[in-house]
Amino acid sequence: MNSTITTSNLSHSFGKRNVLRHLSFSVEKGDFFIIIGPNGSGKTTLLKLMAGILQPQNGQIEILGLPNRSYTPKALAREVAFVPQRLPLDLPFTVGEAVLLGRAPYQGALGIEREKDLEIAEQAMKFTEVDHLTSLNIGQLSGGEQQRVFIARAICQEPRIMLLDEPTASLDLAHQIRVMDLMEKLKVEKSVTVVMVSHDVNLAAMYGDQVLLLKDGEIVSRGEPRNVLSFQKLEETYGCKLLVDESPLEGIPRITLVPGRYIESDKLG
Amino acid sequence: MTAKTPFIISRLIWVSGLLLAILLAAMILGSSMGSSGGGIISVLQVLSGKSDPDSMLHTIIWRIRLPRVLLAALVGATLSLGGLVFQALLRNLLAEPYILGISGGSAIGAIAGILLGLSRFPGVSLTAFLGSIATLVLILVMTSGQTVLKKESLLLSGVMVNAFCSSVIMFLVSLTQDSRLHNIIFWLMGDLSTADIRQVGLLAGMLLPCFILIFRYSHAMNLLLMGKEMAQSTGINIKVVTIALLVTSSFMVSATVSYCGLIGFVGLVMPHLLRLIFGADHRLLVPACILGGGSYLVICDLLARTLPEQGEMPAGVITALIGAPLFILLLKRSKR
Repeated sequence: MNSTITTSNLSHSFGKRNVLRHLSFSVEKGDFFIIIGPNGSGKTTLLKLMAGILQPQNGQIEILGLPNRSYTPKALAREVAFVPQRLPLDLPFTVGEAVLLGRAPYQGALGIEREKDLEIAEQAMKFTEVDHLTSLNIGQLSGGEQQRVFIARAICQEPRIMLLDEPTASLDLAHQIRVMDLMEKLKVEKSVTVVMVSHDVNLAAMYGDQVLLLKDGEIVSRGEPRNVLSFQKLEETYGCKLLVDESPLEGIPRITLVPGRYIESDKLG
Repeated sequence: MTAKTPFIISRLIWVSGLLLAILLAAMILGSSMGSSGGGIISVLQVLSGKSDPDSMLHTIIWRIRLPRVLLAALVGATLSLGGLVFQALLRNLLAEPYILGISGGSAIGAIAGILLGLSRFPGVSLTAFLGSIATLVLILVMTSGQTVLKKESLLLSGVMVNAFCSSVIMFLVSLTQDSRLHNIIFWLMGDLSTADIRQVGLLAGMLLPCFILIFRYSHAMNLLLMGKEMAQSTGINIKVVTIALLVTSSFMVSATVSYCGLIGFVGLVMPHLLRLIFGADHRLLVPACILGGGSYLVICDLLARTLPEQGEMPAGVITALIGAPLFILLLKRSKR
């Protein structure tokens, strides 16, 4: 069996609000899997369920073939790492110390670090290119650097599945590409399955092996970017005017937002 | 086992050794000073059993000064550690051991005991302890289930309980007129003078297991600083850790407060002070708070009973009088 995450009939609600309804899908091993959808469509909730931060109220999630309830928190942390949308930027540790915290699933209660832990942390920092920042405090870094530090911390967990919630949201263009390239490298070099929630449909088109389009907690479409990111499905899901054509790169879809004034003038004309 | 000692262990030994030396020095100094004189050399002789067991100094040191110094060390340690735990759990820099209202409940219990004319020990201590445990149970019930994990609701519940208790305390105080009023005021300011070696031993027996348990969760507190979600996805069982830390630290604070009243400020300032010096790693801060907080209160109590020409002041007066300027000074320096 090749799927790393399988959800069956997964539902979740906060109070009376149904956030996810009867989701059934699977994420294949080694895929770059990108979840997109409008605000409030349940993307983050779905990611937190996969991370074990929330427990499914209905339905089931299987991680690497086992129901996620059958994992202890530590055992799950050795398979699945999570980078939340809001990073703890006030963390009073240096970059090196923060990254080393990712070794906790392999350590005893006191987190006493062995040679191996230090080596893995060092490699993770090299991988995300923050090794020159080791002794700086988290608060002293730029947004892009902070993001890469917490990705390095997650890599320290040596996960087979990496979950990220909008890691590019507040980054400039160069840093966005850098983070996306890092995740692709993680996928290719370490065969990690990457699941990412994103608002950027163009990044999803460029990097996603599989894209899951959610609306109101239900699956609109799932599959390769060229099939999911069609003009019709996107406009229907997001409820705004879009242009979808082919990107000059490899013929992947390119989505262009259309400002309201063009639509107005269209009406006038 | 690797040949090289992990960095954290060598730092732990270094920090604990340093602070232990300071604590021992403070305790010897605390035992050697007082209204009936002494001096370090004769105190060392008494403590090592090389003096006449019937001498006046022997009695004073073993029956009065040593219990008091030990009590100050235990109380300082507990309050500092309690402050550290609450600051980590609530992720709030203003958190201190009394923030959840345990002190208020304990005070009501103590005042009730004093008004009923109970003896200081075990009577008033017991009513105070019951008061604080009742408050803890109340808070746990109010924030039961999932909300115990939400730091805001925990914090607000505590503030409300404290406000309510303060009103009850003021009401009770306003009704009291005779000499019991003096007892109440002294209890509210905190008082270490009633130390008795057997009672202090009992207190130590209750506190030491709490210290060990909290140290066991010290790395979990480090992970908690990353926020609930990231800590959880790093393999921490948030619910177990939160409840264990909350109940353990509340219990130990209740025990100390019940015995010697509300000594203020130690629990707020010591975690911050030690964090400025040793960094934010809780594996170092837990022993540092125990040893450093203990030393701090021993020294404050020593000043409180030796500075005034006549009588003594409550140690709680000195804790803030020295602690606040010292903290501001260190804060200024660390900004450089």
